[in-house]
Amino acid sequence: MNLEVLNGQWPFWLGALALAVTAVGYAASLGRLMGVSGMYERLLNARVELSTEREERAFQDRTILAEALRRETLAEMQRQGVKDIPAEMAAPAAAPAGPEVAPRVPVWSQLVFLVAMFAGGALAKALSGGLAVQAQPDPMHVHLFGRAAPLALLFGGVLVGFGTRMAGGCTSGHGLSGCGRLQPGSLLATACFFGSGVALSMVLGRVLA
Amino acid sequence: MSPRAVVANAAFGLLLGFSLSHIGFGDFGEVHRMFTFADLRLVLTFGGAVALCAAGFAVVSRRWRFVPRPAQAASAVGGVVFGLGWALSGACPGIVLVQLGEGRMLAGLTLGGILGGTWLFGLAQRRWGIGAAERC
Repeated sequence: MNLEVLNGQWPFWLGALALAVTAVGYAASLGRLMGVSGMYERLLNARVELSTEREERAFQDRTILAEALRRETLAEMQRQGVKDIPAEMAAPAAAPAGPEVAPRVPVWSQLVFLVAMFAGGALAKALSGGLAVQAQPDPMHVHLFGRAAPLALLFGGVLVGFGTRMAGGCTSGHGLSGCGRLQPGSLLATACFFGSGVALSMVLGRVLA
Repeated sequence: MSPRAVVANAAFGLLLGFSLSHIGFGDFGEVHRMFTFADLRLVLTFGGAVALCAAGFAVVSRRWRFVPRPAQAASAVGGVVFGLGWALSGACPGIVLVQLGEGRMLAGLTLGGILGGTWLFGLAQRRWGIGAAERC
């Protein structure tokens, strides 16, 4: 294959388009936001998530809820002897108007997403002819950290896990889905993680390189 | 489990992993050059994606109601901690999976760290009552 798209590094506009299509497409087709760190947390708490999913299923249909509420209200009005019962109270209730709240994405399908991300990375390398197992650390990483490079990966990972859970999201949830919806918490979190990444990288670049 | 959810998760996960790899987000050097502004390509990629997302979500939000994300202290503190970890490891929770798929074996250490850090925060929450911002 000799397509440019399958081989080299993408220009910024193609990368931006691909990331936006992913985040918006996910939200449009499932009605829930794509957030990778949230998927980790849900999978680590799979037992609780499964019982929440079961409870939620019972309350999913808003037409059923609205109808139950109408019947109870009508019965109560009759018990209290209300004379002027509004005409719309006699008709079956319609679902409330406006945007819907989608059901939770099943927790096990989130594992499918994570495995598919792994496969996506492998596929990209395989189609460009560069898929090979690399046991060596990244040259730039070694340039900065020397023999402490594996430690930087492990400790950095701990900070990533801790920080994303504390902030309630990561690059996908806050950066794309949250900033894209102009949510204050997401704009704040994104400014903070990008800002601290810039600050530390600048210092590392000066001191260690 | 609904087939629709499985198909959507598989398709968008594959697209995200494939795209991140071609963008170069799995490469520590690229990420370091983004954070030091030595190369603006990744900065423009991310900025452009946010702008396109804003246009897309303006349409999608008419159909679906999503959770609001108010600004909280934990959003800022957690964000700072995450950024430090990203600069050290070159990975965020999604990218580490792409790195493993690309064959970078040492990313296994990063993934172990991320899972450990996620678990550790849950412990800190239960034991010491450290607050979290609402989840995405």
